[in-house]
Amino acid sequence: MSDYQPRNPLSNITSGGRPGSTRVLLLLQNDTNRDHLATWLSDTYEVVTLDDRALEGVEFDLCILDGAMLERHTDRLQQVKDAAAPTFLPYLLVSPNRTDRERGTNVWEFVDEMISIPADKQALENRLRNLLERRRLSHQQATALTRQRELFRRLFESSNDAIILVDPQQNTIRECNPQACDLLSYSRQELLSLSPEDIHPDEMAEFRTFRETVLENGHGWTAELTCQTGTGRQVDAEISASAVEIDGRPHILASIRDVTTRTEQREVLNSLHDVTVGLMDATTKQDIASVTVEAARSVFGYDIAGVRLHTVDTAPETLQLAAATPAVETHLDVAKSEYEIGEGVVGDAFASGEPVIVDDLQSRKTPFDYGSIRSAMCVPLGAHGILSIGATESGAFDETNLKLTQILATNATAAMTRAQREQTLRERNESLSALFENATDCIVDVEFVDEEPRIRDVNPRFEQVFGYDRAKIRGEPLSDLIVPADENTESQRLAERALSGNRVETEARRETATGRRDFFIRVVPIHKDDTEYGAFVVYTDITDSKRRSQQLQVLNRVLRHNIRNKLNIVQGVLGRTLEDGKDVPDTLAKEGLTATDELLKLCQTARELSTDTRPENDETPISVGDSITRTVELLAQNHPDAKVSSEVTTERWIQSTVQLDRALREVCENAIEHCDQSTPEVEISCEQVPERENWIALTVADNGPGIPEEQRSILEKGEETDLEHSNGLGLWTVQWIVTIAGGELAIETPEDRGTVLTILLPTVQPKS
Amino acid sequence: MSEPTTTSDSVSVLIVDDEQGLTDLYALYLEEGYATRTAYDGETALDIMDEDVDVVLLDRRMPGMSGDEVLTELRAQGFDQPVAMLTAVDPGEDILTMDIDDYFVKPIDEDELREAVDTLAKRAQYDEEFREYFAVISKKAAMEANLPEQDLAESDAYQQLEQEAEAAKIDADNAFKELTETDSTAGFRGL
Repeated sequence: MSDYQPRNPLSNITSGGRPGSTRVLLLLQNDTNRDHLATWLSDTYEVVTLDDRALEGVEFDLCILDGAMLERHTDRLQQVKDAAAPTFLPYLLVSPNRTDRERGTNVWEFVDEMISIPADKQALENRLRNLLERRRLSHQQATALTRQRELFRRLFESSNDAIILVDPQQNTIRECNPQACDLLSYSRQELLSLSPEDIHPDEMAEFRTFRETVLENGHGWTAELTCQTGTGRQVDAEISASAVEIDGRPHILASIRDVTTRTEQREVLNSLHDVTVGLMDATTKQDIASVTVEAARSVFGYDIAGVRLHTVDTAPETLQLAAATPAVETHLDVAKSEYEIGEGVVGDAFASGEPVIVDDLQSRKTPFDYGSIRSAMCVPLGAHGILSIGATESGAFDETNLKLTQILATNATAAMTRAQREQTLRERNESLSALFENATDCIVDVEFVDEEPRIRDVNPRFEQVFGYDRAKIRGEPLSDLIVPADENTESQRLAERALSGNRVETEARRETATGRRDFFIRVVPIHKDDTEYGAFVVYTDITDSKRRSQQLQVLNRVLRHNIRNKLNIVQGVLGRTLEDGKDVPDTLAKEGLTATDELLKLCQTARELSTDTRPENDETPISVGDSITRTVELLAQNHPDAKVSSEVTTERWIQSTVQLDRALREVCENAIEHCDQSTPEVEISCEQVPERENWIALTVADNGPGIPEEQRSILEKGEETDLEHSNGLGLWTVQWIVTIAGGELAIETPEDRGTVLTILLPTVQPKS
Repeated sequence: MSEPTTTSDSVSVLIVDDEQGLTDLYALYLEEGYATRTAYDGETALDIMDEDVDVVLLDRRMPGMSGDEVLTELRAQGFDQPVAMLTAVDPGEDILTMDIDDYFVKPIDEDELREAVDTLAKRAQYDEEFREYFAVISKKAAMEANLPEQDLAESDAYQQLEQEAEAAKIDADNAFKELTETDSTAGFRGL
């Protein structure tokens, strides 16, 4: 034996070598020959030997055998070959000489080829290939035939249509399927004993015409024939028939459809179409429920029908009756108006999501009394609810009823889903709109035209703060209306960044109806579609909070600085007076006293600062002229050595909340105190700002040394100054007052002498 | 502002603060054992500053010239005496980069102030000793670099330098020891 290991023939598929490989059975008496052949073939084929097994137990595609084995196994070989039919199982006889041809003639009945040995390897391979190809083809054909037969049988038996096979020559029904028996109300035996003409007794002529047409054309279709059933009922039929040849004779294979119900169904479907239109017109789930129930009643004739809607507002969630036919009213004491999910037939069907037909509610074990309702059909409407239909007789609903009801249910579900989506959208739009209209921030809806933000809409708060009429500014460039000239570059950068689709947040000053204010600005870009590009710009007024935080910071810093300094003096003086042998010079004692005075003054300043935003009860606008007069009088009293004058060329009013008196006093006192001239001079004037109708300019000019840089930055920008300078709060006070008023500050130091400080303020109408 | 009340040996302190009462109080604190000069603004301080001043106490927050500006100007003019900032403002990180020797937050009492000035004076002293030691070392190194070993051994001047270097080192070490006993931060000062 060679070292070739035959595989287990039973594990045909899972064999290690070549899956699905061709198996060649070697039936050779001579071991040497067998080993030799096995070695040859094992490259291409899977070689199988009989060993001690019976021939029937071995699976193979081809058998190579010699004369001795042929003789020993003749009968068996014959049987195996027959069993394989119609698939061809080739036998190749190996013979030492051609004399084997003289063997018994019956040998050739199952030996398919012979090859003489010693054989050429190539010749052997050619033979094997030919035989195996024949086997493959025969197998293919056999399989195809089997499949066709199987297919036909299945079609015949399992078709929804009734099918009969008519032998026109004998005028008999040769075969029929169970559906034909059902349709025609005959048993198979009865049908096979009838003539097809018996089924169309009233339309004999028509049937014959149809029969001839089919035989002539090979096929035919008619909806003209009716069939009389075994119970004498007339069935509207639609017959489709083909001519087939069986046993060499023409036959007619006819499939018959009962269109009696289909005619009805078509009417139902047409009505359903109208219902669907109604469903799509309904805007709420409640309306859809009503349309659905009405359709169940009028289209299907179901008197007891109801739709329950899934309610999440209750705990546990329930199905609540939303619409019902009038007949339900009479059953309502028994038909619960509310079910929990999974409760009863209705709750169950909803929970499972599958439609349910119950033929007899009485036979079910259920905790509910369904009263006179015996049958039920429940079809879930997605997650929205459930359509349930009842009947007082049992077994009222079948699959056809269910299918049609499902069409209604599917449409109702789609309508409810749409209604819900629309409802959500509507609510979202409404809340968005409410947000826009009622926001305490100013909001502008802009679109970008030529990369420039143009106003599409503004909210009422914007109208109020910036003083524009909503209707009049649509389409206007936003920047033109609210961006101060010196903030233009910054505003353009903002627009550019928003255009690139980024959400932008920044702090900037904007020109409001009451002057400049600080805003936290958020730009939220919005893509409406490819061509339309816009943004929501939201302005939050942070003027007060910004000033308050600045105030807190400055107060904290200045107060702590001053308190530490002054208290250090007081502490030192007092400490020394208690120590023996150490004296306190009078000058130092006086300085200690001055320090306490200054501390008290500081407290007063701090108190005034903390109250400066308190709204005043009196809303009467302040006359600027009066304020200047008061200031001049006060200064004349407190600083008799100074020369204070005023010039007012316009009579204007400002909001009552502006602490103009204090601002003017602080500015003038600062000028007088820092003046290095023997007679400090201060002149206050007021005039209209050119090209800014509702603004006035208040100017304080002095003859001092010019205001130092660090104090300028406090006044002009409200900026945190260097740590080392400025102990006072006076100039901060001025800055804050002007900021709150929405005004602006400017400082000029003319070359010759002094400082010119200008306060710009928005004016209001005097109270009439 | 007051005229220098120098005694030949005493440590001279310049006090600068725009808060007049405070300047005068600090001067009073240092009355015993120190010579003091006072200035109520930065410009005056620069006017009365000279080499005789050993320690400067400088207020940081002043109108006009600020303490920071005065300090910059002092250093620019070549004054390298120890400077302590006295301030009523909490220090920020900026003091790390300032060329000062200490930072005191007001209020400061008498003992605190005297101790501060004393430490700074010692530091000034140490600086002096160290500078001398370094000067001798430099000269010695210069000779070593320019003369052959044989000549050095025979040079009287070099022999004397070696002795001076040894003495200067001892002086500097002592000054440093004295300093570190009272001033824990001295070890990190610009060495």
